[in-house]
This record gives sequence, C-alpha cells and structure tokens, in this order.
Amino acid sequence: MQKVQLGQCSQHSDVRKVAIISSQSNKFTKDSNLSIFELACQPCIDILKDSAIYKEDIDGVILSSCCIDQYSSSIICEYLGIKPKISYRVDNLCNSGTNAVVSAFCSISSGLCDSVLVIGAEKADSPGNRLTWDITRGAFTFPVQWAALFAKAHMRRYGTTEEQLAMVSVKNHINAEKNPNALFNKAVTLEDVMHSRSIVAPLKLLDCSVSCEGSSAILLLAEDKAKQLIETPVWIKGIGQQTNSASFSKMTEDLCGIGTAKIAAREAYDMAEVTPSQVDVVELHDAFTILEILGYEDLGFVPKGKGGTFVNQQEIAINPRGGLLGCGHPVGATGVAQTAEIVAQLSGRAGKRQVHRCDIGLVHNLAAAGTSSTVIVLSV
Amino acid sequence: MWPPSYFCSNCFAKTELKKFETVGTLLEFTTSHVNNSRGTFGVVDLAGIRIVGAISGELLREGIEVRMTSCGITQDGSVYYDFEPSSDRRE
Repeated sequence: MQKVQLGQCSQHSDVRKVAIISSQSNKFTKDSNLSIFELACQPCIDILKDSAIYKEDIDGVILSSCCIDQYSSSIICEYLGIKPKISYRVDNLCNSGTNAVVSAFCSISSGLCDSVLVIGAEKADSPGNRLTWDITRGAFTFPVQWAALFAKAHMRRYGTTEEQLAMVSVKNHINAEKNPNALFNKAVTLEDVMHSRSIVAPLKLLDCSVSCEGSSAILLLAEDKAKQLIETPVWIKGIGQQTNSASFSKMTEDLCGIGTAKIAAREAYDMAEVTPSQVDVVELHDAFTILEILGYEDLGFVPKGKGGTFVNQQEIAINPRGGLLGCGHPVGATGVAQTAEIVAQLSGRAGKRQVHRCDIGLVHNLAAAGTSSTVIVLSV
Repeated sequence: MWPPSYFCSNCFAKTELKKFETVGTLLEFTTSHVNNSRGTFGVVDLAGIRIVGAISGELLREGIEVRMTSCGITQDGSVYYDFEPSSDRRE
C-alpha cells in the first residue's frame, strides 16, 4: 500500500469552545480508610450540590485512576445516580489526570457531549506506583532511580546544584502550608532538605514526592451551556500531548530534558496563541525536584540549562498549591487536582494561596520518565 | 529491539532472537540507597540498545567502555543486568 503523509494536525480548526465551571479537591492523606469509590464520589458530591446544573444533564463521566477495579466509572455513576452517554476510566500512570481532561475536552468539542464530569481518584497502594513491563530498567525499577539519572546529567552538563534542587522542595512545601488539602502542611528549610537521607544520589528524601491517596473533580461544559450558568468561566485554550514510548531506555537520548513535554508545550502554546512569557500561574509536575527544574526549561520559561537559577524567581507563580512535593502524589488524581487548582486560581477562589492578577494558567503533567506528557493552557 | 517484541515496530516483520553486543558505553550512573535496590547503577548504550544495570568496579565515569558480566531473571521474576568497566576485565 502506498503511504501518504497526512502533515501536521489541523487541531485549531472550528471546534466548540470548552469551559470548566466547577472544581473540587479533597484533602490528600496517607490512608483515608475509604474505598476508591467513596474517594471518587466525595468531590463529585460537592460539585453536584454547588453547581447550577442538574445531574441528569451530565452526559459524560470520565474517571482517571490506576486502580484495577473493573468498570469503575460506571460504578461511580451508579453511586452518584448519573446516567451519562459515555463513562469510562483512563489510565496512563501519572499522566492519567490530564489525559482524562483532554478526553472530556474532545467529547465536548466534537459535539458528542455538552457536560462531562472528570474525576481523579487513587488509593495509596495503587499499582500505578511501580512499573513491571519496562524491563529496560533491570533491577532499578523505582521512579526515583530514573529521576536521579536526569538530575545527575543536568548537574554534570549545566552545573545545577543540590541546593538549587533543594530550593524547589523548600518553595513548594512553603506553598503547601497555605493549602488545607495538602498532605504536608509544614514548611521545610534548605537545611532540612539537604540533611534528609539520600535515596538515590543526588536526590534526597525531601527531593521526592510521596505516594498517597486522594481525589479531585472538575466539571466541563460546552460554551453555550457554560455562558448560561456562569459569568466568567475558565476556558481550555490550548492542549498539547505527546507519547514517545513506554520504556525508560527510549527516553535516554537526552537526560537533560523531557522531549515529550517540549512538544506538548509547543502545541499547547500554538493552539492557545500565547507565549511562555504571558503565563501567570503554573501547576508543574514536580514528582521530584529535578522535574520542576527541567519543566522550567521544557515549558520555555528559561533557556536550556538555566532551570536551576529560576527557582526563586517571582515572575510566574509555580505550584502555588504546593506541587506534588507538598500535596502528595495520588497518581491518577494528580493531573485532575492540578487542573482544579488552576481553575480555582483563575476564578479567584484559591483562598490564602490566591495568586494576584492571574489571567493565564498552565498545567504540566507527565508519566514514567516523561514517556508521555500533557500541557494544557487555560484562561478566563 | 529491547524490550523484546514478537514483531518489528518499523516494518512489523516477525522478530527472532539474536545475540547482541555486550560491550557498550556508560552514559550516566549514580548510587541507589533504596531498600532491595541498592548499589551503583547506570544507563549503558549497547550498540543502540539502552538498558539500566548495576555497575561494579572503581574509577567509574561517564563515557567509559563497560561490558555486561551477567544478566538474567531472579526467582521472584525480576530482570537484572550487571556491568563492569572493560578495563577491569581479567583475562
């Protein structure tokens, strides 16, 4: 069969605009004593009680989780008394949450649905915490082990220091103090991080996020429906996603950056017609401190190699929620919670951690050594 | 290709097992203190196939030539690869 190149995706053509009109997150904990279904339903109940729409009008429910429970989204629908057109679970490890948001966006922009509830929920013992298929990692299968290789490479090539890595943790733990839903509500000092025990050199205990459990939910609506209900909805303006592989070995071409994140960022900026300098507030996937420094560069906030010097800048609010380092990392819930935070910030509902004068926000979410990444640009 | 597959991801032809180069280049390495997964490890490029394995020996640095000394599957089903610098090879 003769092959034909399709050329670039024409993603910017006439699609329906999609708004997020409501968001809720619960407190992340080490052990909630709740089932995955109870966890998932909690933020949805808050949204359904507070929202101006009837639950009968929700025509899509998408669950983001690495849980192994069969047809879990349909079970949640039954608990909530929702009978949607579409209902399914999305699993793409740590990148699951924003994958679910993108799926909801597609359902609405295509005209298939008008309103979609996206739920992220995870238990602390999620199978998403450790990979089994990727045998290129040999006996070194923990996420912190690939993250440490990225850190070592960046330090060697660009002179990034352990103190700069530690400052990411300090900043995000300070931010988490203002977030009642964060797993950790206590600030840490540079000394605390530097003296915490080594996990995989150069990463120390406080350079690493903690697996935990929690849930978050957001409600997306088509433009005409959103405008009926709310004066200033938050709009999804741009989306970029890229999947390059499933194995770590395919990500080692450049250990000083996440290639999928760079592509996703470029596509999201193009679709939203914004530049990195216009972004006011960011949820950046800091599962390990090095990932935040790589993220500064991959998202275009600083030139390659300068990420270490960007930690203490004041121009862009990065991880005001406390990031994964401060909030904990319930795998499938993280991307939804990140999106919920940007919605809260752009809506002026972020309480003590509210960022002043923010109009454009960005969510950066990735999976398994950056084998896949998602970037979403939102604005009021 | 590695991880192995029944077919080639480029042309979809059926694959077969073949011996591959066991001498390669150490791209990056560090030391793990994680319980049950301790020791020095690194990424090694074996003629285009990249894998993560334990690295033994002294005077390690990025870019040196290393050779695979063993690989296999443990009783609990875990895969392992072990390397040492080629210069440490004892004839």
